[in-house]
Amino acid sequence: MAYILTFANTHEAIFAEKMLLQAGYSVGVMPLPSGIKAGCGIALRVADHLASKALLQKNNIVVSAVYQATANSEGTGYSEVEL
Amino acid sequence: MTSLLSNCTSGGCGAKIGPGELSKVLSGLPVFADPQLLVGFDASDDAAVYQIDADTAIVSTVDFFSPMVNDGRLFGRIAAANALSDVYAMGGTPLFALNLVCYPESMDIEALGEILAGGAEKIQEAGAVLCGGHSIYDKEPKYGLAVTGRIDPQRIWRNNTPIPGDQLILTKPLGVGIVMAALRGEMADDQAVQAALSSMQRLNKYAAEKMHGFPISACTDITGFGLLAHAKEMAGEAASLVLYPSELPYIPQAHTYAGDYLITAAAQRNRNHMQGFVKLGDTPFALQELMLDPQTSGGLFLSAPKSCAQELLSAIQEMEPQARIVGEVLSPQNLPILLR
Amino acid sequence: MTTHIDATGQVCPIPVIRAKKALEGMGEAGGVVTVLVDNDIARQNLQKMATGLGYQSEYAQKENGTVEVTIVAGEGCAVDSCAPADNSGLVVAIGRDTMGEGQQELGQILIKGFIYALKELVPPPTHILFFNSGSYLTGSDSNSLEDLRSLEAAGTVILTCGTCTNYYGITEKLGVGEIANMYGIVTAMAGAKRLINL
Repeated sequence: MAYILTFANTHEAIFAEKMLLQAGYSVGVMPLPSGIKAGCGIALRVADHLASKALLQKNNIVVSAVYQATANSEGTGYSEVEL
Repeated sequence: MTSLLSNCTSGGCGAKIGPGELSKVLSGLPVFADPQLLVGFDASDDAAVYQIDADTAIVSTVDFFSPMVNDGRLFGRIAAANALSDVYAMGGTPLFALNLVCYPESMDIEALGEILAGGAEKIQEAGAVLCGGHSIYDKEPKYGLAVTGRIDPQRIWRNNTPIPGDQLILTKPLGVGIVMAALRGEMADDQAVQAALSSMQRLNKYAAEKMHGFPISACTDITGFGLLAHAKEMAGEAASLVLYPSELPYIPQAHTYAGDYLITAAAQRNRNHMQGFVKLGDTPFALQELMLDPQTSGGLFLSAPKSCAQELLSAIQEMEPQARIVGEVLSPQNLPILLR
Repeated sequence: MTTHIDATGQVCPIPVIRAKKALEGMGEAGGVVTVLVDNDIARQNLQKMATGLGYQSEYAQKENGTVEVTIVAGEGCAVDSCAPADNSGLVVAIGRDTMGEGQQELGQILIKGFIYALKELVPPPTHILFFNSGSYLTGSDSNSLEDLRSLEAAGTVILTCGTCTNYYGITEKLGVGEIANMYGIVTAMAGAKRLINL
């Protein structure tokens, strides 16, 4: 699951995880990586960022930003994905 | 408790007859020409495939070896997973298996029961049935399976058909042989041993299932011949493979043990066999040994188009979290294997 | 000073380990180690080790197909002995499917993040023990399964209390690791160098 969704506050993150799971999406929970800033310390890992974001938007959950995780020689790098 | 390892030399896939020696002998056999034989041993593929009709072909493979662990049930599971692996590596589904058993008269028969129970567990997990077998007395215990599976003749994953431009994926970490060697030398960390045992028992079924939706151009499983020998087989005449040693997944302690020369005889045989086919000189020693390390019940090594390799990798990583993209396929270069 | 090692009948890596130990034992004074082996592959591995560590080595065929390898450790060539890496000795006990006290939905998401972060620990924990409502986290429908499988592949032993899975009726749904009884759980906890109890 190579994409990371971040949120402004924890309530959004909790709700988002519940929504995605209910809809059968594959979603994992992770602490916000140290390379990224966001309001909430919990981030979600998803495989399909476009569909996930669309589903959340339909339910009035705002995703702060989407990042792509890539493995490099120093570990994992995160680059923001423009939508 | 019965010590399975008491009359064993080096068990597992470290005991395979060297690839060079074996091909010398095989090249002297008659070539069997039957149009129904879709995959024979001329390309040293993982299993034999024989066509029955337009939609069905049978996959057949056999594998057995002596114990590399003292626990009977663990040994049974590992030997079975190892035998079943070849069916998955062709893209097939196992249907049924037969036991192959050699056992010392002097050893306690309950331990054999444990070995067979371990094998049965894995056969069941594979969704196949155990339907018999053959056992004889021998001074050293040995166990394995003859496995029969089915496959769609249009969807066989051969081992030597990679397409230039494709990327290479390895699904399980390397270093199993090295860790077991360190264990024999009583210098292995418990965790490394757990990681090695966990890898050896794991069926390649789950990775293979994830692969079925994708256009795989070539696939094989890594055995006692080590990654480099299988990469050379995959390159064949029509391609060269580039491997990125720094991207290889491996059990972390194995890297340390390799640096301390806790290595196997089989790895040295594999190294001798690879002479002239790859330039190892610039790669750090420990990584060289990992690429030559014999794996027992190793992971799948496959090539797939660049356009879907990342997606395929993510799918495989759900079941094999240490899977990685480890190289790419080029048109033939001056050597079959290049290291970058 | 010369040390003679008879490693005939011994399988790799034993001859190399014995030779290395003898070389380490020589320290700064240096010396000579001779190793008798019964196959050429062992000879090759011994010379590989010697060359890698900067020593001279040579070999001679002896009777009965044995080979004697002589390794010369000159003065001032001490071998660094590398102790095998210590494992973490860390055991994590998870007695519920939430982390901390308070709102359940917050606790549930926190523990998922905790398990993810455990996966990033180097070296990984030796054991993770699940009991009472924590048993749900190792079930086949747990959202932490991928992370726990990753931990298992790295060598962490994952145990779930059988009494608990039985009580909740979820024993058949175990998705990772093995079922343990109280003895297994107590042994793991008692043998820990450090114990985290959530």
